[in-house]
Amino acid sequence: MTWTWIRGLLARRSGRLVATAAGVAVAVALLACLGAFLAVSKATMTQRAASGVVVDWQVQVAAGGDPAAVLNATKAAAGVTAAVPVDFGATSGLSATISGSQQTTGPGVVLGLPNGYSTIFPGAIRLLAGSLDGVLVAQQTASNLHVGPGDKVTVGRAGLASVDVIVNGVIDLPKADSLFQKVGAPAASQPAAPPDNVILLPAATFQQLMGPLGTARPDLISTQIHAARSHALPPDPAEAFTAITAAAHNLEAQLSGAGQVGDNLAASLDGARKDALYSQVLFLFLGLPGAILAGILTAAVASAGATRRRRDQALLRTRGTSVGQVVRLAAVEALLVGTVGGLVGLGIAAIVGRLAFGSTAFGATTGSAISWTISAFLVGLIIAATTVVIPTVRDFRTSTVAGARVRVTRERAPWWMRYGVDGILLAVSATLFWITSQDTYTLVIAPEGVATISVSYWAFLGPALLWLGAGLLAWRIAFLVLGRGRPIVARLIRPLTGNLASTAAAGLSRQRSMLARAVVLVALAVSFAASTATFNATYKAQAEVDARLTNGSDVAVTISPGTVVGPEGATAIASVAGVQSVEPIQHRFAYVGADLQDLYGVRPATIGAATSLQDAYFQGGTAKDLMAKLATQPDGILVSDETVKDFQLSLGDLIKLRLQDGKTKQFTTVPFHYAGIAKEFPTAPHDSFFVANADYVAKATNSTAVGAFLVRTNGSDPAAVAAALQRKLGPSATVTDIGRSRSKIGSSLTSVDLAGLTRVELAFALVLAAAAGGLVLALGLAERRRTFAIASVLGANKRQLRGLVFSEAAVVVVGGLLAGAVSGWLLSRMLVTVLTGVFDPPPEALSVPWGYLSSTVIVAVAAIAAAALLAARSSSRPAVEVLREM
Amino acid sequence: MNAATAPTEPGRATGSRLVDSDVIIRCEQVSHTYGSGSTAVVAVHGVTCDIARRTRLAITGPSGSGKSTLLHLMAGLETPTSGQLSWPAVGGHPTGRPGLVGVVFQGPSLIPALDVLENVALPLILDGVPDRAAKELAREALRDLEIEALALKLPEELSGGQSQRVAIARVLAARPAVILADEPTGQLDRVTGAHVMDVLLQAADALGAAVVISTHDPLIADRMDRRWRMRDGALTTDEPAGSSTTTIAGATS
Repeated sequence: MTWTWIRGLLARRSGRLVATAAGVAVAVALLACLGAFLAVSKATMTQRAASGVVVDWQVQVAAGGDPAAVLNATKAAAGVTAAVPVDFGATSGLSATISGSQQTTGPGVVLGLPNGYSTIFPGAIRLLAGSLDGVLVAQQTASNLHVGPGDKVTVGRAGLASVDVIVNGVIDLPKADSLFQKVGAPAASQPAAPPDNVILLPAATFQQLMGPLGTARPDLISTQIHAARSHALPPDPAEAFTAITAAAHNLEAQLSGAGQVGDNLAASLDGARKDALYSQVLFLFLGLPGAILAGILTAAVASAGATRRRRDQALLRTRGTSVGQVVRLAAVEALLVGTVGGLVGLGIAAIVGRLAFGSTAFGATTGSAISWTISAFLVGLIIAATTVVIPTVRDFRTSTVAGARVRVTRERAPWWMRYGVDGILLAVSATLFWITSQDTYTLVIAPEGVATISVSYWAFLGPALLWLGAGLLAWRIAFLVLGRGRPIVARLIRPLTGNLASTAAAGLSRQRSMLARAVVLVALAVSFAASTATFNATYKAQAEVDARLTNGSDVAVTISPGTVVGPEGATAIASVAGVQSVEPIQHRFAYVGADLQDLYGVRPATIGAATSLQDAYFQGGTAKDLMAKLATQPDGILVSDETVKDFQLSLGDLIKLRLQDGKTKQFTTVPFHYAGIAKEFPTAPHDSFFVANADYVAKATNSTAVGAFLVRTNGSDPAAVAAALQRKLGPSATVTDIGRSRSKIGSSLTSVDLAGLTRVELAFALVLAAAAGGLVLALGLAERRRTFAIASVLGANKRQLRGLVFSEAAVVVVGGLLAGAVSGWLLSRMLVTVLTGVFDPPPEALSVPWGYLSSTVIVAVAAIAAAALLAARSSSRPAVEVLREM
Repeated sequence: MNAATAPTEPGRATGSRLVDSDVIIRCEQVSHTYGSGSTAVVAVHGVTCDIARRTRLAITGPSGSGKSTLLHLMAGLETPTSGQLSWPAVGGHPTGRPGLVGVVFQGPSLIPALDVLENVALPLILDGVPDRAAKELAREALRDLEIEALALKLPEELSGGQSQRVAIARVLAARPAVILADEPTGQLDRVTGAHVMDVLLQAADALGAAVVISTHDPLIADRMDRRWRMRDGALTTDEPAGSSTTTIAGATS
């Protein structure tokens, strides 16, 4: 009997089965895709974090320790692929005489590197001029000493005679911060900046020149073992962090105090752990609603055919089939659609994962892949069972065989409407939102260096309840408008239905539950699409703002310390092809009390030409206002919020800063007046800094020296313009482009993986919007073919039948889009606020992707229109034929 | 039905007027085949007949003999595959003059989402009668059938007999020239069926409308003036209701 039933279903109810299986497939595919997203994003984060580390471990040999023993122990440690000793020596100063002019620096560091160091640790040393073999001078040191390849540098040795070396190359040390770290010291005790003066010698030369210093002053010489580890790490950053930390502890235990591990790899993974948690949160916030929507949609699709299924099952019961048998048949149907839908969904996910993330695996490890696959598949089966078996069981409890024929009964407000569940959900959502949007609330807590990390999932409840509450509210409004607002509805649909308006409105009113459900599904789908797209667009825009803020503009030319260039240097930069405008920015250091802060001197009238200043960067006025203030009040100064609090400043207050005079090199006091707050500024650090009028600063310090030139390109590739500028300016300046800043920021969650998630979600949102509009309406209309057939028999012409169909479609389109737009906008605002932790800086306004939103609306309307047209066409089939079939 | 109701001109409700002809429906060698090729089924075969005004006609025959199809052809709901079908008194195809040819179906034929009054008024509204006037006429029809109390009920809240009476009211509201009823009591018990027939015939009398009924029930057939038998899609006999069988080649009522 089961096979007969299944064959019958396949032959006569294939549309229903296919539609339900399609709903299951969408839900399963979305979940599995999200699994792939999570897996790939976590693995990418781990890889990114690991690949950004040049020297994985710096093992500091304890004073008096045996470097050879530490080297051997390090080499023997599991996972270590290479280990070499690096000597550190302190020099009392460096000097050079070039063209008769002697330049001298303060104390510095001399490194002794073994042969092949730059091969073992690629990226540790970047050659700027000359050759990597021999004596190398760091860029800033070369600039300070005015030396280049072939020049002689004298290295000072405390208590010993100086020694001379010939420079073979000028290099940059991109990872100077970690290279010169104080191994084992807490973050607060680490040096604020790497040493200014660095010279690198081959190991043998180091031994020859600095060896005697080691004998005389062993405190000035130390050794580190630099180790490279295998980057075959657990894909999850948290697991990788734990594994690497444990390995470092293991080595330290073996060294028994002879060495301490500076674990650069773990430090990098530590940051990635937080990003991994954010990716999990984003999965919840942005992905899960889609999967839930797909489930609801499947339920709606299944329930659109519920009347016929009930009738079929009632027939079985009248012919003596037992309750158990009928439920079993329903279970078989659920299993069939669940399995087919699940398999199709996994197939779709594999293809989408391949296209969007470059991976067909649904998990970072085999275990998680299996669990994601099984979970997604099980969810599909649960959706199928919920939508097919549960209604069958419920029907047995609540309806009779005769009742199975009931199609339209008097509409009664559902229980949740009577108890105001929608209002309660919205109120709770607003409360949670208020709590979670407070400044003191932290969504992701990942204390540095501590293994335990946590996410406050409560924050997810605010948007989730808003989504559900808004859906139910839309249902209530649709229900009320179609019920009590019948005369208004009749007037509104008169252009479609003519003198049938009143009758059509009566029909709509009696089916308002079904229509309200379609309206809500469209609204939820549109809201999902709108909020996801808006969030992602805002996120992308902010990543761009962040990159621009970090780099300053399309291209930034930072003058090397020791080199003095005035604003006239802009002329040379402007002559390079691709440059549109150049803006000089002074960079000085100013003492406010005992506190040293960066000071940026800007030309308020023209700075906007080379960089964009957002209002969000400032407080106490817009960007335009505050720049105008600096222009009219040259001694005005913008300070950080923290400084305002620390010094209890009020607008107009006098601030005395000590700045270095360009001529005397002495610090002199310069008066300023507090004019506003700058929270962010192009090229400025995240902590405290000042922004002042460049002309005033130049006059007060007798120096027009520029710190950096911000360059806006004329649309040319910033990287190409940067390369051209670097060629022209040589090692006297560092040229960076926005692309490089973007990739640096991208080492966190930001621009790495969200693009893939965005593509997947936006594609699914489109499918869901189309399905919500078209499929639900089409199935609803298909269920009422008999109604249209009767109307046709009674004399309805094609225009009148079309009017009836289109009036339903109009209700779904207008109601769904309106409710979706409002809830989508609210949800976007809430998501951006709750997930503010992923934005840096916080967005000034939402970025609305109008193109995508228009496509969503077009797709939803087109799907509904297609459904209506198909229904209208089928309603013109010979009525008797339809009546005979039903 | 209210016996005092004066006979009313058919089609008055919708503004349609009958053409001056005694014949309402004319079939000339009408045939209808479902499907094609090897699966083709001839439902009606070479039927020639006239339905005149005020006719009381029962079409009987075994299941599958073509009764329903013939009625649907007469109503203009099906198109003959061969032969000529015309409606001389209607003055054109009945779908262009809704209301003049009323059809009562065997099964439920009310629109579930409309209440009884709206169901009865629907054919009038579809024919262009203003909403309020259509509902007034519908209420009048319900009153004539003594079911005005059901006006605000939904179809699902009606019994089978009530549903059929509403379906009849829907036909009568349009003041038809002919009522084609396809086994109108087929799903009702005998007592209810008889009552529905009483209502239908009295209303038809009051309107002066012809009545053509397909039925299996000899008691219902006996209440008609004439009885046509069908077999394998063809009309085989024409006889006064209750009389013995006479084989015919063509039939005129």
